[in-house]
This record gives sequence, structure tokens and C-alpha cells, in this order.
Amino acid sequence: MIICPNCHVENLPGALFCSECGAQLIASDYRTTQAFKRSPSDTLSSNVLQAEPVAGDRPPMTGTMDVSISLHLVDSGQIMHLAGRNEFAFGRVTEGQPILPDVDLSPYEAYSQGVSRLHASLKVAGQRVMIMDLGSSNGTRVNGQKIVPHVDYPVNHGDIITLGKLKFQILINH
Amino acid sequence: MAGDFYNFLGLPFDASADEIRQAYFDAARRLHPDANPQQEAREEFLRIQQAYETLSSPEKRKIYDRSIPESAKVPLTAAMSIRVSRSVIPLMQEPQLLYTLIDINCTGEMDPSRMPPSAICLVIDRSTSMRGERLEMVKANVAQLIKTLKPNDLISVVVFSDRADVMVPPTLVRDLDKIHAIINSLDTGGATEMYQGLEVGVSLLLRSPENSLVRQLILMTDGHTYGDEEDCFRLAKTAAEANISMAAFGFGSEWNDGFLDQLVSISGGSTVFVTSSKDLQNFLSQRLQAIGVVYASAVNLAIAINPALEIRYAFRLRPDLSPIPVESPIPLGSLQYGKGISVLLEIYVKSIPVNTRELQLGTGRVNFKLPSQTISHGRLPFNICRPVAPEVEREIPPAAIVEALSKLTLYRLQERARVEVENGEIANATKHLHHLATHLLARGDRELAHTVLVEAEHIQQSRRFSKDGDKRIKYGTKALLLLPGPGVE
Repeated sequence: MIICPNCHVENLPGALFCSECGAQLIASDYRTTQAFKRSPSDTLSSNVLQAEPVAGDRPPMTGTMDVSISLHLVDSGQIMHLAGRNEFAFGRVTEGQPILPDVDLSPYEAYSQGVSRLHASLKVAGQRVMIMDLGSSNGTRVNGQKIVPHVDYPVNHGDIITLGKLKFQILINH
Repeated sequence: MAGDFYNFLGLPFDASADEIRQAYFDAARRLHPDANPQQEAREEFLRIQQAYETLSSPEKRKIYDRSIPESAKVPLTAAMSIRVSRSVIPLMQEPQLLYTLIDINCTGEMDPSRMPPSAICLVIDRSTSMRGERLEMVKANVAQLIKTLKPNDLISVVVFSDRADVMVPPTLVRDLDKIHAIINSLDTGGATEMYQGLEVGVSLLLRSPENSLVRQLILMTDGHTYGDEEDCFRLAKTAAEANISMAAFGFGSEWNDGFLDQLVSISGGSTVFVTSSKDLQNFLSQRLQAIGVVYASAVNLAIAINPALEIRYAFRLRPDLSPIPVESPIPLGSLQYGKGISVLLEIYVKSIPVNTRELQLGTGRVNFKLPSQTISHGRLPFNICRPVAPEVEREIPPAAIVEALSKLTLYRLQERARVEVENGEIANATKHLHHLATHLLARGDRELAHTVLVEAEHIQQSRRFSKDGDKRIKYGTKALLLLPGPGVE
């Protein structure tokens, strides 16, 4: 018997979806088999290496941003500019929430798009921009590729980041 | 006529000796004078005996085959593929489920010059309830769309209320001139007695040439029929035997979708739910377009399932979406050029005996008729067999199966809620509708999710589905399966 993780009803072995609540019972991520244009993150990190000839000369994490970042919300076409920090936590604000995200995505229908309250964080370190999933329920994708939670992933200008189902394109202006 | 012996037995020219014997025994059992005393049956019985005598002897068959012109010996251009949710079946004494996706595709190129004309009969409800918007929809679209048929197709129009009238007798499409005026003169009045209309429609189609590409009856109605359901089913069976298929268009919220689904499934047809003039235009033009590109008609799937197994559910994913009756043979409608037929089966395996190495799920044949060819029968035999092992690796089932099931599960959730409402299990029905709404929301289908939630509330108050919401949910969840074509790789 397979116990449905969602509604705890027993399903017959071999069932692919729960007959009670319709939840998917098998692990599958077909998107990983999609043609995935490899982002030129390798190139970017090598640039960074070149940019730091001497160890210790690395731009301090707390320094001011030397890149400006904007988010282009794919569905609504709106552009959001990020400024004033080196790290931005994305999520949505709900009542009685102890930790608030830096960027509240509620105005962009975050709830129905499956964005968690603390979903992902975007970091800027020198020339590098990185995204980390904060253990969200519906996951974070970079160019359609699901990323592992709590690990930094480099992102580049033009990459599409998906929080749950909310899609935005990241625009980096060096 | 050349090749008739093959046609009598319903065989292709390259049939094997075993197939010939089997076909003869099947036909003989049906037509033997002891079983079937009718005069026509006796004549047919003599014909198949004569055919068998020739074809069963290799020498006689060789001579007979030489009399058939080479042009009649066209190899089949259809193929099928079968995918099972597990490549290796785990050896288990406890019950398990398997999913099987059967795809039948036409691999050939269409040759329009060889395609015989089709015969189409529109059977239109003119009962009082059709008055106003609904009849206007029909008037606005029908006359115009009929003209998209091929010039030598035969079209007829029957209108019915409590009696039926032939409005347009079978006419070649190119000879239609006053069709607009005729359709526009339609007026309403009377009750809905479907049998009347269907009976006249079928009798008109029976007069069309037997080798028509498609003989199809398209029913347009908005109501219930009372008391003549059994007659309608019988008529549909007779019609299906004569290669006449039926499709139904339901208008508004009052029509009896359950009855019509059952009626048209006898010939492998499907029903659609028309809510606007645009719907009618889309559905009707799709339906008429599909007629012109048929490769094989009267396709059916004869499957002998392993007796230890049970088909729990069958659904056709292409070309028309519809649940299909679990029986053998399963009628599947027609196979079009460039658009295959896909059927998904849910198979229940009760227990696999210890020491089993291989499990045969089922054997069978896909049978069909090829209206454009002299030897007009085709078949594709298959045997679904998978190895069994005590230890199996985790595997991801074929994407097409998962994709189709992800949506079919939603359709089945509403089907289940429907049964529960009938049994008075309101709490369960509401719960299942809520689950359905959650999935629809997750997919971003907010409008349908909203309809489902409203319906769940309605059920809690009145203990039954509202007539409109009922159909919106059924046809809405069914339509989810349309994109992107499952089974297409």
C-alpha cells in the first residue's frame, strides 16, 4: 500500500495519483529532461577569479552594491527595482508572521502562485548575484531547473527565476 | 467483386491461416442456422463457408489471390504502440495497479483522390425549449459550416420534436443551394422525443453507399427524452453494425449528458457541451473537418485480458476525449490521418502467484474498416507481456502516462463526487470537490476552480448538483486533457 502524503489515504501499489485527493504519488520531475540552455555562469565565475588577483582583496560582502538589479515580472510585465541591500529575502507577508521578507510579493498574487512566506533570497557579492531557496514548499527554479534548497546558485542577467509558479526575469546592470 | 472472400470474413489480404480459421469460426458461431434462423443470416452463412473453403486451402487461396488486382493489395499504414506504467512488474501477492497507454497511429499519407465521399446527417431538436438563442446559434452556424464539407459528400438534415421531418433529403453538398433559406425557416414547437429523430436520421444514412468514408449522425439537442431510451440504444447498436457513428451536441444545462454519452459511446462517438455560438462553431467545424481525413472507421479494440486481471477504467485521450465502456470489443470511433487514437487503461492486478516470471496482461486485436480500399478490413494484433521480478528498481513511468493521468485524476475526482451525491454521501462529495478545486487553483485555472467551489456549496445545501454547474465541471475537467496532446512525444 502507498500512503498518500497529502491526505493519508491508502492507495494500491502502482497508483500514480491519489484516488482520494488527486495528489501525485510518484517522484517525477520531467522538467529536468527539458532542453536547458546552460547559463554562462562558468564564464561569470572565471571573471570573478580574474577580478581578485590577490586573496583578501575580495570586495567586502557588506559593501555597497556595485551592480543594480531589477526584476521583470513575466506575467504582469511590471519591473521592480531592488536597492539598498546586499541580500533580499523574497516571500509574502501574512498576519502574525515572525520574520518578514524584504520583498513582499503579495501584490503579484504570490499566494495563488504558490510562493512561500519566506521563499528565496537573492544575494549580491561583488560582481556575483546568487539565489538560494529558503526551503520553500513549492521550490525555486532557475531557467526551469529546480535548485536544491539552502544552496547558493549563481544567476546571470536574463535568467528566469520561478518561485512556485511566479516567474520573473532578473536584470543585472553592471 | 475482387477480394470479396476476404471482406466476407472481415480479413485483410495478408491474413495468416490461423486468423482465417479464427475469423471463420467466429462468424460461423454467429450465423449458424441453429443460432440465427433468419434468411439473411443463412445467405451470409453460405457466403462465409464458400470464402473459407477457398481461403483455408493454400493452393486455392493462391489462385484466388492472383485474381485480385495488385491495386487492391495495399499494405496497412497503421501502427500501434503500447506503453505500460512499469517495465518490470513487481512480484506481489497483494493487489496493485498498472496503467497501459495504447496508441494507434496512421503512418500513411492521405491521398484525397482515393477518398470516397462521406454521408452526414444532422438531426436537430426543434422542441419548444430550443426557441430563441439556441435555435439562432444553429441557424447562424450550420448552413455555413455544411459548405465546408467536400462537394461530393452527402448531407441530410432531419428536425424532430415529438415527430420527425426530413428537412433536407440526402443531397450532394455541391447541389445545396437553398440551404440557408431552409435552415432559416426552422421554427420550434413540441416536446423532445429523440428516438423519432434518430430513427429517421439512421434510415437516411442506411441508404447511403456502404463504402462511404464516414456515415455519421450528428445530434443537436437541449433536452431530455423520456421513455424511449432503450429504443435509442437499440437503434445505436444497429447503426453501429452498419458502420454509422453518432456524435451529440448538447445545448444549455437541461440535456441529459449521461444518456447521450452512453448512446454515442456505442459507436465510439463523443458528446460536447455547447454554451455559446462560438462553441458550436468550433465544435462543429472540428467535427466536420475530422470527417474528411478518416483513414479507418469503426475502429474497435478487442482485448482478451488475463482472467486474473481486471480493467478498472478506460479513457480515450485522442481524438475525442471520453470515458469509454469497459467491454470487449471497445468501440473507438475512427482513425484519422495525422491524428492517432490513444486509450488509457487502468488495470487491477489482484495477486501474482509466486514463481511467476512473466505476466501476460492481455492479447487482442485492433479491428477497423478501410472505406477507401477494395479489401476493406484491417487489424493489428497485439500481446502485452511484461517480465515479473521480486525486486524492482524504482522507475518513473512513461511521461505520457503521468501527464495524462495528472489530468485524468481530476476528471475522475468529479466523477467520484457525482456518484457520491447520488448515494447521498454529501460530505465525501464536498471533500472531493474541494480537493479538485485545490488542484485547479494550483494549475491556475481559477474560473473552473470557482465553479467547483460554488457547486460544492450548492451540494451541501440541496444535496444534488446544479444542472449547469454539473456540466461545466464535467466538460471543464475533461477539457484539461486537451493540452498539450497527451501521448504525443
